[in-house]
Amino acid sequence: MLFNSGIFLFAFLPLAMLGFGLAFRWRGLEAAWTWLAAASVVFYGWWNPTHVPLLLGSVTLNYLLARRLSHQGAQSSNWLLVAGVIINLGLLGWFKYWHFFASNVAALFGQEWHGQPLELPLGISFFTFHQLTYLLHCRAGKDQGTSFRHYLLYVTFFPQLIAGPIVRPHEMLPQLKRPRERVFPWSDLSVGFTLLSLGLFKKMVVADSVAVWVSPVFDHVHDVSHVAMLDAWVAVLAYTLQLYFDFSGYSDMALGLARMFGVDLPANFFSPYKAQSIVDFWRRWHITLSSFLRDYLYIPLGGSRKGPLRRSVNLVLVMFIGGLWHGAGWTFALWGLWHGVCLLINHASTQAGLMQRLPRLPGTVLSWSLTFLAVIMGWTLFRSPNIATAGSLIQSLFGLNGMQVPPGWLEKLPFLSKIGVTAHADWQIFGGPVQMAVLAGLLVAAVALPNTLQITRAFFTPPNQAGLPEESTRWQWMPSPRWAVVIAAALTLSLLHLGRISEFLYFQF
Amino acid sequence: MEAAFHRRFILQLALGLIALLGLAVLLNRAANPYCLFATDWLPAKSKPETFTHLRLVKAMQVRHVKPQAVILGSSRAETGLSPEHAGWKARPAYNLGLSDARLYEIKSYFEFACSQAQVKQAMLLLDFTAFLPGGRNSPDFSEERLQGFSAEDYLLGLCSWDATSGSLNTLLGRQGEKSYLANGSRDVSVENARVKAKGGALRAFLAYEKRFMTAGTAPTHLDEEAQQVFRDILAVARRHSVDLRLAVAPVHARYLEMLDRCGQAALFEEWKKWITAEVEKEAVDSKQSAFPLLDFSGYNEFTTEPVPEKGLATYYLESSHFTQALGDKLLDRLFSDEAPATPGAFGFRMSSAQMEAHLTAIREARERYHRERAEELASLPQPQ
Repeated sequence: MLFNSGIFLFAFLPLAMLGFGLAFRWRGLEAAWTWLAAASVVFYGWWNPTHVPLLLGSVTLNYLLARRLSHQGAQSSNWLLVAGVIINLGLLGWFKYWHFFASNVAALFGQEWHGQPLELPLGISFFTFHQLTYLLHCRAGKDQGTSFRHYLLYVTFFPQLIAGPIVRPHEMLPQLKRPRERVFPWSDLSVGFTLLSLGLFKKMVVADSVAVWVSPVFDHVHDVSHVAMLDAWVAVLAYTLQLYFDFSGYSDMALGLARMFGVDLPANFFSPYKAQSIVDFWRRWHITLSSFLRDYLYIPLGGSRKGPLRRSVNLVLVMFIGGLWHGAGWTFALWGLWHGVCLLINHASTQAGLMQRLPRLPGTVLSWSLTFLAVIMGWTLFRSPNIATAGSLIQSLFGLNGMQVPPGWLEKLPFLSKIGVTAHADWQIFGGPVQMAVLAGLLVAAVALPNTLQITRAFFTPPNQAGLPEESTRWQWMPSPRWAVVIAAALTLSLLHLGRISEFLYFQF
Repeated sequence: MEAAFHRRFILQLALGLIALLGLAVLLNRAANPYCLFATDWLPAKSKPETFTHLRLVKAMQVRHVKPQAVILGSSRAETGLSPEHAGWKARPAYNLGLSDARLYEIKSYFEFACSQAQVKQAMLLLDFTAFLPGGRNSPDFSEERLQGFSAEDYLLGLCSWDATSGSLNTLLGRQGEKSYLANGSRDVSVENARVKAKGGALRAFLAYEKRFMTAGTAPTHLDEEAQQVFRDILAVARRHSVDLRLAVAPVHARYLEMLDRCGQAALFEEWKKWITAEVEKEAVDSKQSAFPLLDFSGYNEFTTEPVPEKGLATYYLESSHFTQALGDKLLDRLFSDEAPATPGAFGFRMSSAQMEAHLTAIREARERYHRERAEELASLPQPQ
């Protein structure tokens, strides 16, 4: 069941809300949370009911471990925590990485691996991280007698179960304990529907529309001798935009849905393509994953406290692991390494003060351009089915497979012929000026327009607000007729796109 | 106080949503881009969305028109055969050809037409490739649609972005990828314009042939499922007492050369023998006269038409799709009571008894064609 499907919007969500409201009225808040947890398990089981026992078993085992850790607090033996980490990562590793590991080891010894990859339980990467953070939370003695009901909901809460955001226990559990006089206050509904509508619009109208320019190139690189330069640029830029609008749209929907039930989830995106450095990019892109890796991997490894060499190794290692978290494949690992190296260059450049020596405007433009170029090179690796494909595409991007333009361009701009540009008519996806204008327009929207968190700032404060960039906007959402028209238009356009169902990209990670 | 603003916002949002969705539904009903309804509130010159929703549009048009004569087949039938031909005695006649159709889809639409009206006349333009393994039903093919009311079709046709943008295209008179007439045939003038846009007939031929030659490995046998579906089509016609006539498509001689170069010439002959035997077997089983089965492929003055370098050919758009000029000659022959053609000739009525003579005549004609057109054939793309 996808958030952008009719069954979710017109059956699951109304039923979940109705049951939540009735349970609260008849049995109180705790019964309402129980209903919500049960609805979340149904939501999870809708894809593949056989994975429900795995989810519930994992939740129960972790809760029991957490109780032991909690009782013993900071004095608890390390082995209990180590056992919990091993169980969770072991489960993730078995389902997600075993095939990758075995096939690579076999290849190392010149053997062929005949095993088939296991079917990956949906959202396993996310609920594993949720449970690890909870164990660490308890080990630190910060848990205050969380009930199983609350813990189950913390892990399975349907807005964040499948693709995040990765929620820390202290960001959600206190909200469940807060007493309420009523559920579904009008303010929660208006803010929730606004975030949900904006998320649906980003996903269904924007991301899915540019998606048609992505697969024909990335999935069929080997069907042609090489991808023409403009085809490669269209595909890579379209994917860059698709991934952002898809994933940030999903996150907006998650935030909006949770808000309807009176829960504020942490922000996951803050206009990442506005970043002027790779460090800045990771403060804005998949924020909850970045902070998880920082707090639970980078800092325990020593962070920047053990000298520049150790910091560099830590950075690259963390990004490498972050890459592999996205998928068991060398393209993901290489994508992580690429970002690790970019971060090193970023730190070195900052220390040398390179950008500060430039005048402000050229410096800003250069910083943004280099950052964006590094990011889209990374996405080329990320989306490609294998490294050879990524290499071929990157060669095409930089004209190393020849520079081709439509024949008409050569007639209008004859100097192009003199620099080796040739005429090409058999384009895979390049569609001329209208397509270029669409991509440019969306890029400008991603770079220049305020994001949903900025727009709704007066009415929505995510728990990780303190870590977000301080950027305000004059566009402030209000429960006003003007905004009602804007949101109704966004929701109408999204609902009109309902017939075109497509999965969220981050479900696979 | 603040709660009142939020409550009012929710109300305004709900009203705005209902109003905007209502507007979209009204627009889509008025423009009727997929012919869901028999009449348009805002009539337009053409329906540019037909090609992208072909199976939906043709199913709906069959419901509205209730044809008593239907043309069955793939895009070759859609392009080259006219329901306005005088041979169609039963009216209205409708071109139910479906681009890129599998035989199963053709059968399903034939059955559907028979369920909607008393179909008296039908012709099936037989396409050899439809009998080869592989291929899937088109994504817009729906069994549910042909079995009764499909709520999904009405939902998507009235309340979807596809329909809304389709309505705007319809009302603004935009040109679709392919253009269709109300009788189900493709608009010939638009097809000709496409050939001209490609740079003339020769370029169109070569572009098609290049695609054909790079289509992958050649099958070595006929598809058993398609063979069964062919039998089913004959049974449907017999069950509904339809005057069904079968015709092997008049592909250009260059197309036959491509089949040969791909190693499919022998299978093509086997296929002709098989369909002939099946038609005869059905006649014996049903104790009625056999459905006429005429072969329009081969080497004759039409199928060997020289391809002009510039401009348009008279009988072909490219080596597979023929024009209505040739389609009319085919239908003349199919509906005529003239003396039967000799083996190998255009429109020879195939029978097992004369099959060898027919195939031998075609092989001899091919030898002559090779001798006389060696230079032209040298330009044909090679298989890849």
